[in-house]
This record gives sequence, structure tokens and C-alpha cells, in this order.
Amino acid sequence: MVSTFSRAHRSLLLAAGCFLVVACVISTTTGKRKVELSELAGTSVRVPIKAHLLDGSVILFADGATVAGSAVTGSGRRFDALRRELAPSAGIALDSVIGFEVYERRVNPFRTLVYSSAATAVSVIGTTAILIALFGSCPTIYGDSAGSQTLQAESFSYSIAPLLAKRDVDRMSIVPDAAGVIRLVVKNEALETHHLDHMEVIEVRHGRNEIALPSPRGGAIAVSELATGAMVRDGAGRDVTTLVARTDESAFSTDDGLLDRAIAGGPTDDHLTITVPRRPGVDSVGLMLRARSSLLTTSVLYEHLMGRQGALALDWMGDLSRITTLAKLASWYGGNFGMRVEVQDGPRWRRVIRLMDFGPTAWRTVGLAVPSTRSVDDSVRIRLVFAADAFRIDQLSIAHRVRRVEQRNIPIARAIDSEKKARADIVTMLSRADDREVETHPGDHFSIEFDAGREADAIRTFFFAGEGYYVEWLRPSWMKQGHAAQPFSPAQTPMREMLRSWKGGRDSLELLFFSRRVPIT
Amino acid sequence: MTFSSLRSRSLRACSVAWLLIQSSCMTSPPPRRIATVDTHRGVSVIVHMIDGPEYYGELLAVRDSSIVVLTRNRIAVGSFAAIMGITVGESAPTDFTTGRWPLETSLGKLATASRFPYGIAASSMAVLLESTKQSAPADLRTFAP
Repeated sequence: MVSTFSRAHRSLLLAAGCFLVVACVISTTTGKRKVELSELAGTSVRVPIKAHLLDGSVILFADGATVAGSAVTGSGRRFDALRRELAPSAGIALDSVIGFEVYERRVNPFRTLVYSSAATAVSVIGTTAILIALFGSCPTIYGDSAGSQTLQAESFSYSIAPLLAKRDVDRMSIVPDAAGVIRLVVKNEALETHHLDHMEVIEVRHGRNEIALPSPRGGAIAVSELATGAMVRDGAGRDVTTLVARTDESAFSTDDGLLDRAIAGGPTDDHLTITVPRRPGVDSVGLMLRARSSLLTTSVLYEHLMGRQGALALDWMGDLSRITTLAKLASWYGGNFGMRVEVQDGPRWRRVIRLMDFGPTAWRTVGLAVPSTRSVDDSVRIRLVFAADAFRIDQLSIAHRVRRVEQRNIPIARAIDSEKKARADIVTMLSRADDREVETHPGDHFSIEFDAGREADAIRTFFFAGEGYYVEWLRPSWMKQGHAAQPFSPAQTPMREMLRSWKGGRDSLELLFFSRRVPIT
Repeated sequence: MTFSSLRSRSLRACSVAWLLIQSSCMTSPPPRRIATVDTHRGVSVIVHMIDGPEYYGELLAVRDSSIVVLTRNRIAVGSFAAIMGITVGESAPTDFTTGRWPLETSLGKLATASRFPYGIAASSMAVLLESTKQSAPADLRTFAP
């Protein structure tokens, strides 16, 4: 028994050891700390140190300094009280120094525990190519109805830097409770830090036979009189009309043959073309689209933009605060991803809009007024063009009637944190799009309430609007690729290569994503 | 080879390996990089006064009962009694609000983020006032730039 116990113990220790070695992401913060003169007397400091002098000037010893005798010596840069740089300094008498600050890394024990546990979960699971990308789900918004939660929205899926912070509007299915209150739960279910800037609910009133939809152009539209007899074909020539006819469990995805041809050198785009008879005297139709992105963009983001850069990804993410870097990325991303909506005008296809804001987790339903132009025959043809296998499309419909509708913004009334405490500060921070943000980490969640009012007779649909951005956590596997690390270059990243690596890990990645989307509880 | 030397060598190897792994996975930049880009100025703050106005500026120093800021090109002193809260920082702002400060730890954090964490000596204040063409610091309660 003792022996068994001991062996079990050894196994446990070995497992724990492996766990610790794999979980090697250490959360640190680099900053300054005041240090008293007495602490440094007679020492050589190897980290950067700053001496504050009596006259208000400072000397920075970036390579450290020696504090011995009556002076501090080292190779220093001196700045006066107004922080203008003066002549270099080789040292200063200690009686001119008020105090020091040292720059150092400090380990954040709790975050390290979370990072490490999360990283371990990822590492253990990811023995194959699926390691390239796991999560990209961004803040997920759940409707809370009598304790039962349903996914309603997924905000700013691709806002991976402060300069990309943007507002997303999602149509929700939730309705106010008997007291006229809408309760939502905001969760961070990804390996990301979320910076939440603004959240509100939008109320849209419409007719009983109308469907209210957020428009990618801003505002809301209401559509009615959905066209019957529409036909939808994809880029491989398949008739997918029934697949996208209604909201259900079946959804369109790109034909595997088309994806293979794209990888082998064929066109890398797929498309859906919807054709409906043109109704005379109608100048525009409403396009209703319910879709989500596949994990293609997620895997590209993580494998090509971050994973292959190894530790360079740290610098690259920092560079995203520069307009030029961001512009290059946006140009490359816009040129390869998203969904182009086009309408046929005679023999030519006219660009209507590019849709970019679909996340991989929650279905997003949007509506768009499209010119009802005559195609080569007497029908209206609308085409959605996108990178092969980039989207899952659940519903694609044309409505013969479309109109803009007014909307009412409903601010957050109350916020309750995970410990059931009322949080007025969260309400304040999320009430306006300003420089105050709520920051959440994996596993965080809180509830927000909106006073929508009780109106039994009104037909109302509610949207959720969220603005912010997120910062991706670096995975240990990326850091371990140091030998192969190469800076991300949009120009040298062909679409074909991205599709090839995507197809290689797609099935297992999707299985993993949708079965274990919540890695931290 | 004795057992203890074997253990000692293994421990050393493990320690080195462990340190190597650890050092490759830090999530913040190295101190030298931070130090060399440091402007040696104070953090940006928004001072929210009890009677309504807000002042955006640089935190120069923190005293026992007041703060010194450079706002609208003026050196100004704000008494804690007249301040409702202070928003500190731009990229990840932190709010110090009534009821949570002035606590000793909050003041310590604020001071560390200021341009003069050890306070402003009279000679330094004179230099600052000369640069803003003031004879004395303004009072945020009656501040009129």
C-alpha cells in the first residue's frame, strides 16, 4: 500500500512537474520603483536606475550604476527639471541625490497562475496544428432571462489594437422582463484582455410584419415581404437555396473541391449569388444576411500574424499603435478578407459594400438596402464574394420592402459584478465612448441592466451596441518558435498559403473551438 | 559520484533550464527598453473637481494634502478637499475616487507616477514657475487660465 501510494505520489509529482514546465508564461509588469539611498549603498546595480537630484533634474543610468563611497557612477543621460536633455553624466555626488528609482520586471502571481493554467490547457490540447489558433471570440454577450443564459452577441471581433477599436451592433432575440428590464451578461471567454469602452442597448419599433435589422452602414432598417422563388448558387455551381432559406441548424460553407482548387492555384474567392424576379417600380430591395465567420480568419490572425513571428509578435503588437503599421495591416486584411456585396447592373457587377464584422462564435444578422438594378435579364442578382471557406451563412433572403426606422438608445442603468455587488463605476465607464474603459481578463464576467420599459402593445426589437478592442495573449507555442520567427509581412503572405494551412487543421480546430470555447471557468 | 552531488548537479541543470524557460516567456518589455523611452515626465491625469470642472494635465508631484499638476501651461495645486477624483493614465486609466483616497497606498502610487516622485524642491519649483511665467502656483479651485 505504501509503495503504491509512493508511486502514485511520484506520478502526481511528475505530472505536476510537466504541467509547470509547459505552463511557462510568466505575467510580468515592467515599471519603476522608488528605492531609498540606504538600500543601494555599496552596491552595483545592473538594471536601469534613475537618480533624482535636488535641483529637480534626473540622471538615467540605462545600464545600471555603482553606488559606492560618496558618489553614484555610471554612464548616464541627464535631464533638467523641465526634462530637457543636458550633457551626458558619468556620475554625481550622493549629497545631490534625493532618491532613486529602479526599472524592473515584477511578476504578477495571480495572472501568472491564470496565464500558466490557460497556457497549459492550450499546450496539452494542441499537440497538432490546431495550436495555431484557438480562440478569437472577443466579448460574448448573453441574455439573462430568469437565470437562463442565451448567446446574443459577440462584439468587436477583429479590433486587436486600440486604433482598431470600433462599435459593433448585434441584433438580439431577448425581450424585457415583466419589469421592463433587459439583463445581459458580459463574459471574457477567450485568452485575451478585453478593453470595453462603451455598451448600450438600442430599441427599434417596427410593424408586426417587419423584421428590424442593424445596418452595416449605421442605423437600422425594417424589411418585409420576403421574396419567394429566390435561387442561390455558390462558386462551385451548387444550388444552395434550401441551405440558406431560413434560420435553422444547417448553414452554407464552401465546397471542399473549390477550396482544393484554390489551394492548387485556382481562384481563392468563393461567392453566393442570389437571384430574384425584379418587382417593377421598386428601386431597392432589402438583403437580410445571417452569418458568422469560419475560424479561417482566426487561424490566419494567430498563425501568420502572431504565431509565426514568435517573440517578435510582442513588438508587432506594440507597432499596431502606429498608424502606418495599422494601415498596412488594414489594407492587407481588407483586400483578402471580409465579404463584398455586389449587385449586377446590366452585364457588370457593382460594388455595394464590404462587410467585415462577423465573429466566429455568434451568428450576426444584418440588413442592407441594395439598389434593385436590372441584371442581364429581368431579375435582381446580388452576389456575396468572400475568401474560400471564410464564412458560414445560415440565412440569405431578399425583401421587396425596406425602410429605415428610428432607434432609441438605452443606456446602462445598473452593473453587477461577479460577486453580486452593484458597480456604479462600471456604469460610468461604459456609459460613454471616452478614454475610460473596463478591462477584463479570461474568466471575468459581469451583468448589466437596461431599463427598456414595459410596452405590451409595441413591437420592439433590441440591438446590442458595444465598442472597444482586445489584446491577444501570446501562447507558449508561439514563443517557442523563436528559431523560425519572422516578422509578419502582408506582401509576402499569399492567400493560397493561408488556405493550405487552414484546411490542414480546420476540422480539429472547429471541433475544439466549439466544444471547449470556454477554457477558463 | 555521490548521491548528493548527482542531486546537486541535477538541481542546477533543472534550475538553469527553468530560468531559461521563464526568461523566454515574460509578458512585459525589458526594463532597459522602458527606461530608454521614458520621457521622465509625470503621468497624464484628469482632475475632477467637486464643483464640476475637469483639468487635464501632467502630474508633477503629490503632497500630503494636495497634488501639483501642469495644466493648460500653468502650474496648479489642487487640494484633496476640493477634488472628487483623479483619472490617471491614458492607455489603461485608473480612477482614484472619493472614498478610496487619499489613502496612503493610493498616494504612494500617484507619487511614483509623477514627474517628481520625491517632491518638488523650492529651487525646482522656481524653475517650473519661471517656465510658465508665474510667480506662484495657481489654485485649481479658482483656476482661470
